[in-house]
Amino acid sequence: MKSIKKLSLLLVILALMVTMAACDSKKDVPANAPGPFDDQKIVVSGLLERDFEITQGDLKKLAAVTKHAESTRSNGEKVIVDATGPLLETFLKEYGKTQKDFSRIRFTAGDKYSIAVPQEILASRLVILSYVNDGRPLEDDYQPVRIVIPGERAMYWVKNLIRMDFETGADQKPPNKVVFLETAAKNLPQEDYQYYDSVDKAIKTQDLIAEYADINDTVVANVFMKAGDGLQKNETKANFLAAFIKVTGQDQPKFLAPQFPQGMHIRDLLYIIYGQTAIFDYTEGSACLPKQTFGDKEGIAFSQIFKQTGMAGGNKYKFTSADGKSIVLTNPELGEGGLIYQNAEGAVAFTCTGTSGKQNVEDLLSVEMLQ
Amino acid sequence: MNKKGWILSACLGLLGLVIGAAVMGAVSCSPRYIPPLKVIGDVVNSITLQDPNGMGKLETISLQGNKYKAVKLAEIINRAQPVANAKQLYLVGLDGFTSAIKVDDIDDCYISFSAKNGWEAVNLKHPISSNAKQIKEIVVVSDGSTRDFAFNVIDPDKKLVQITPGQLLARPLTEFPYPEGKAVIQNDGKEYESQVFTKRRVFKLSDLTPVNEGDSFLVLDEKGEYRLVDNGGYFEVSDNHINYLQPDTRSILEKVKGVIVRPPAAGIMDIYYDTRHYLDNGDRILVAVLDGLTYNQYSYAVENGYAPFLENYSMVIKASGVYPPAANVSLAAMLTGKEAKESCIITAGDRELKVPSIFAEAVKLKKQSILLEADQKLLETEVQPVSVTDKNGSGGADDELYEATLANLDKGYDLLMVRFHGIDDSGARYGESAEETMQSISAADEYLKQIVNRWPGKVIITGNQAACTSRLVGGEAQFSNDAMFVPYWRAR
Repeated sequence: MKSIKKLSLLLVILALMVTMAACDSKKDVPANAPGPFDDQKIVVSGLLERDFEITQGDLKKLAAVTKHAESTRSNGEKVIVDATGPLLETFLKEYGKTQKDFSRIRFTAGDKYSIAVPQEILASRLVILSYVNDGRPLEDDYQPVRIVIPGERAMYWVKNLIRMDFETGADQKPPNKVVFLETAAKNLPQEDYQYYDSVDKAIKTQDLIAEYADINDTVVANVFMKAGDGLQKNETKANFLAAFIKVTGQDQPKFLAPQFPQGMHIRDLLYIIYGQTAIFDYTEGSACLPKQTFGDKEGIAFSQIFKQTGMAGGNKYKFTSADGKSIVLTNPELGEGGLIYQNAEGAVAFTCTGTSGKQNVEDLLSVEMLQ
Repeated sequence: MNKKGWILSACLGLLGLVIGAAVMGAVSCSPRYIPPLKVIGDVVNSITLQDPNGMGKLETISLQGNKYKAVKLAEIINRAQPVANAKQLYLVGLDGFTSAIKVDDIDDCYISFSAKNGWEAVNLKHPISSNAKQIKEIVVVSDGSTRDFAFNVIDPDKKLVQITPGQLLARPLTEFPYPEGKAVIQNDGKEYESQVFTKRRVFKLSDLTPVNEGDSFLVLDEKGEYRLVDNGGYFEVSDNHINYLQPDTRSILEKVKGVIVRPPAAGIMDIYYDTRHYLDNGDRILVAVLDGLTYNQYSYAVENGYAPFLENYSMVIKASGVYPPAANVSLAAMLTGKEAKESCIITAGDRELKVPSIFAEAVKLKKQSILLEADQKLLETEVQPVSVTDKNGSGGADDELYEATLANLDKGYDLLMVRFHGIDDSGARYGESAEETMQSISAADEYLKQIVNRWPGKVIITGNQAACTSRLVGGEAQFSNDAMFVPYWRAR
């Protein structure tokens, strides 16, 4: 009788252990282990020419990170999670994009809840496409992906993600004009700038923007800058407009100001995006971008300017030289696109051969998209 | 009653009990909202109470014929760990009614919760007006004497403001609706929008101290991140710390430790950029780091004739240091030119740089470099430092470092970096202005004179605020004029 009791007790304990193990089966699985929601689809819009679908399984093939995130709900409750999954940046890299390329990204949930993550957040925060939270696969109603943005409120943490819309319009439009820094600088007041042992020349960013961009553009909060070595930085409008661009001597063109810590300076500046105007340095571009030849001339393909600055493509462009003369060329007149190069006088120039024959613009100041 | 009757009665009784228990259970489990009560201000841990039974040891007390189940206020405050010298408590009601009581007088003060009055102060010996009802916050206010917990505002010459989160919460603050975002949901083919804001209690720096039009501020947080800003942003008092908000860019710096108004353009991170510039330029560069030498200390030494060489060598620049002032954090900033957040050297225990140092840059430029130091290895860098020991038992290795530096001057190094430690050792032992410390400065001054005179290339000399305050790292790390500025020389 006693042994039956013992056996029963043992069976009960065993059953309990099995039950507990079963209850805990979701814990500590490898982050990218196959799961029942691997085939659940998420629509991606605005990244390629046509919408396409990805699955949780696709995301599991990307490098994953785990980040701790906390957020407070309106009732004071804290939402705390260790979110695992690929960064949105990692996903975008597959398509040659970064978060900063978009004015906003809208995430939509299965219940049609959606939120647009604005550019300010995209510029400064990590976005995690999480499929594991606190070491466990997501709860079923959170599948296949829960967006987690550490440092932002839980309203941005969209669960049961079914759609991602990548938007470049509305708040910030892509550049529609490119100004060549070398030519622009010649037309602006230049000041002596003590730079270590030499005295170089510098222009005020305030002058540059006032002359060649819309300095009163209230949409501009940040100014984007990229250097030839790939360094990218956003600077506040106020700081940017209080600075200089050194246009001669070592490290030029260099964004700097005597009052700025040197960590804020950017040497070998490739381009600046101020609102809808891109300011491009041809010399830096020719040093770090693929070379193109056109007849006996070597330079940068006109299309590289678009690729680098994200400038919108159009049907008609106005090419303006430093003396104010301009020509308008349509796509057929541009032929294969044309070449930006440095002419014999050391000035930036443009040449192309299209339906209306060879076209040249010497001392090129700007290119503006008209349509 | 027969047996059947008894059984029937017992069954009915049991049924009644079950139904009664179920009804009571349903009543007691019926949802009810308990508003949060926060303890904020000058406390190490800001806490939120939302469970009347979990707030501490419940006692039954009576006041004016009413009985309360309540917890001692002191017990709640202690859980939040008030910083030293907590003086005043503000009991803030939902309608803004606020009673202020002294921390020293709270032995007979209690907090109770009832459905009628919410969180309620029951102060047995205070005037009845102190018994605030529907309390939403208890603000702990210290006397502000602990600089380490305070929000500090300095300029390159003096301390401007030292104020704690609790003291700020006791002042008038602006309620700013900070835009959080806009959510949309589609229902029946129509889009419904919700624009979300959070009300933040904010102030501008100009509310605390006079600032001039166009002044810039260097805002530093507890993790070493910094931002150069103007007076356009806001400082938010959040529970027990200060954040910096820039609504236009949604840029936030959390747990700000202090602000330098009109900061000097130079900083210790310049070592990286200056060295890179010289190496790029084909120059040879000597970098001498004087651990423990702060700007104020240097000025004192010059005034008293302890640093004749440095005084006449080249124009000294006042350079900003980093926060927190730990030896490795500061050294990482010098070697990488990056703030602590980027180099990932944030605490005194961090060793591994996450970004390349100037030695990696030297390798990239095919330049030869050497690092001479006597201290234990503070950071993992791309070069193995040459460790110099106190061979002659003089009590420090600066004399050996001096000899080692001289011995390496002609060996073709493009970058030679040496860290002297004697000033820091003396400062820690005897005091920063003690005669012994001044003698250490004097010795370093003479070493540098001999070294610099024999070095054919460029020279950078800097003090290192971090090392001198390394003993204060942690809760005592200071944001002060003494700790935050060092002398910097860039010459030849």
